[in-house]
Amino acid sequence: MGGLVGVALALGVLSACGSERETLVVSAASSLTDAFTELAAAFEAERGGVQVLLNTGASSALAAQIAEGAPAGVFASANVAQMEVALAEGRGDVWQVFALNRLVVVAPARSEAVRAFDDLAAAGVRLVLAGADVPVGDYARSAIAVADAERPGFAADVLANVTSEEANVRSVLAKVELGEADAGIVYETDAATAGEAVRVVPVPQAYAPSVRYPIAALGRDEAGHAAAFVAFVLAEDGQRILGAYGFTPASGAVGASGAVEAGR
Amino acid sequence: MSLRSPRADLVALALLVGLGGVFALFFVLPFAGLVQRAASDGRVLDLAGSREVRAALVLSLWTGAVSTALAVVFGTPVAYWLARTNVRGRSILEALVDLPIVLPPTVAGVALLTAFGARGLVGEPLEALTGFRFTFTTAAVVLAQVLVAAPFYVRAARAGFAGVDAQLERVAYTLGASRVETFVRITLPQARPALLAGVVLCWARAMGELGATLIFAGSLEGRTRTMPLAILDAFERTSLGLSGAVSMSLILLVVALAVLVVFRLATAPEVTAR
Repeated sequence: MGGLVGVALALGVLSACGSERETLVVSAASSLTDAFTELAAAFEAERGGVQVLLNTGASSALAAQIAEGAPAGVFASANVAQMEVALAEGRGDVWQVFALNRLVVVAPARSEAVRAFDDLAAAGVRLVLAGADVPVGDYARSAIAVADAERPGFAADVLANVTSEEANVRSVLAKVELGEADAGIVYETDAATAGEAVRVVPVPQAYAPSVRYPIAALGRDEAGHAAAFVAFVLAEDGQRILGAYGFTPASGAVGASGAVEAGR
Repeated sequence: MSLRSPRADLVALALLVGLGGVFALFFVLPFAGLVQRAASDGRVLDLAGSREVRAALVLSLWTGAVSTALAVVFGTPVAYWLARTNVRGRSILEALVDLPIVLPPTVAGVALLTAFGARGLVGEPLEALTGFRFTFTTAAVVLAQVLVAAPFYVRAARAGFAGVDAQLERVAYTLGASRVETFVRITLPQARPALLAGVVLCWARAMGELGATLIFAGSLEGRTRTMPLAILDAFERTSLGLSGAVSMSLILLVVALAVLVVFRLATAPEVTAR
């Protein structure tokens, strides 16, 4: 739903153009909401004269918007798959990994139902996951699949416990914070924002997928703001802010969208 | 130019046609866009036969029907009472009944959680007593729909009852009819068109319910994922995307239109009776 609001916001911004100040729409994964709010403010202060409009939602929703032509200058996705979806229409070509994260299980602090990863398979547990194309839902299902390879039947038991497929990581967390669900799978950084209300249960290292966030500048970027924002996120200040919100800084891996590689 | 001149009529006519045309165009264009997009996607029939769309459609149809039935059963007495009472503060009561209409559905969802959720006013003692929790159940879908849709029925029904001349009811009493008999044979038939319009509005609003359901009932195929939730889900799904979502919207529109037409035909006053 945040995604649709995002489209409306982005369109509203377009029509408001012509005012003095230039704007840069940054579409960022839900899990980046807090870190990117601070990043955007820091970027505005450094560059001056540019207003960053943050559009957050499930990366899958944002990628769908971008593929439909939503006016975003920068896309920060929670996985590479959704970055590829966004870039498939030729809106950009290269992406760079700028942060890493970890998957955790969260349970309401008052509930005893889930105290270990294995408990997710216990009968009667109300488990909430994000949708299968939402990056955190995708990572969660692959962790469950890896565990299943060790113990056949585990995935079937866990997936039978899924009681709702939420639109993004923040709504998974909300259902657990409210105590409506017995457990959910989110990122470590989201769990940290919930504080005392939730208990964090680690996902065993052997099952944990590597959570990588790619970023890319989209479109023509005549003023160079989008490229400057990407550079800012990858530079020392940006990485420090991300670190403060619990992300593991990473300015390394570079990728190019398949469409562009084929074209060259 | 005087208002009496034929030219004034001509100008007024042109103005009405112009305004009406813009209005009609505004409503036609989005639907034309949907149809065009769905046609170019070419997956409407595949999707209509797919398990997930069928599950969502069936769930929407029956929860919408149950919610509307609940609105009629519990709302009719309230509507009748509001139409007949002169109690002080009636207008405040009427405003309260209308309140969910202005409430953003997401707020309605949060409100339902605070009442019927795991920590809710009723939800917590209910679970302690019976072990039943509303959240994530089909019952939660129905509660969400009733909260947002029932006011449309009550509003229409109240207006319908208010339009029935109370004098007619008094005449029936003096002729020896009981209150129940009077209500069934005089009041209900007189208010019937308004009640039916209310049923249609309520059902339509229930079928379109999204926000409150997402928050209170979650989204799970076959259990809580009604068509609006399935459409939202499709939009955010890589394999379906916007055109898949549009095709599903078209399916919902066609089915809803069919239901409304059948309902109209079934409830139309019989011509021979007149």
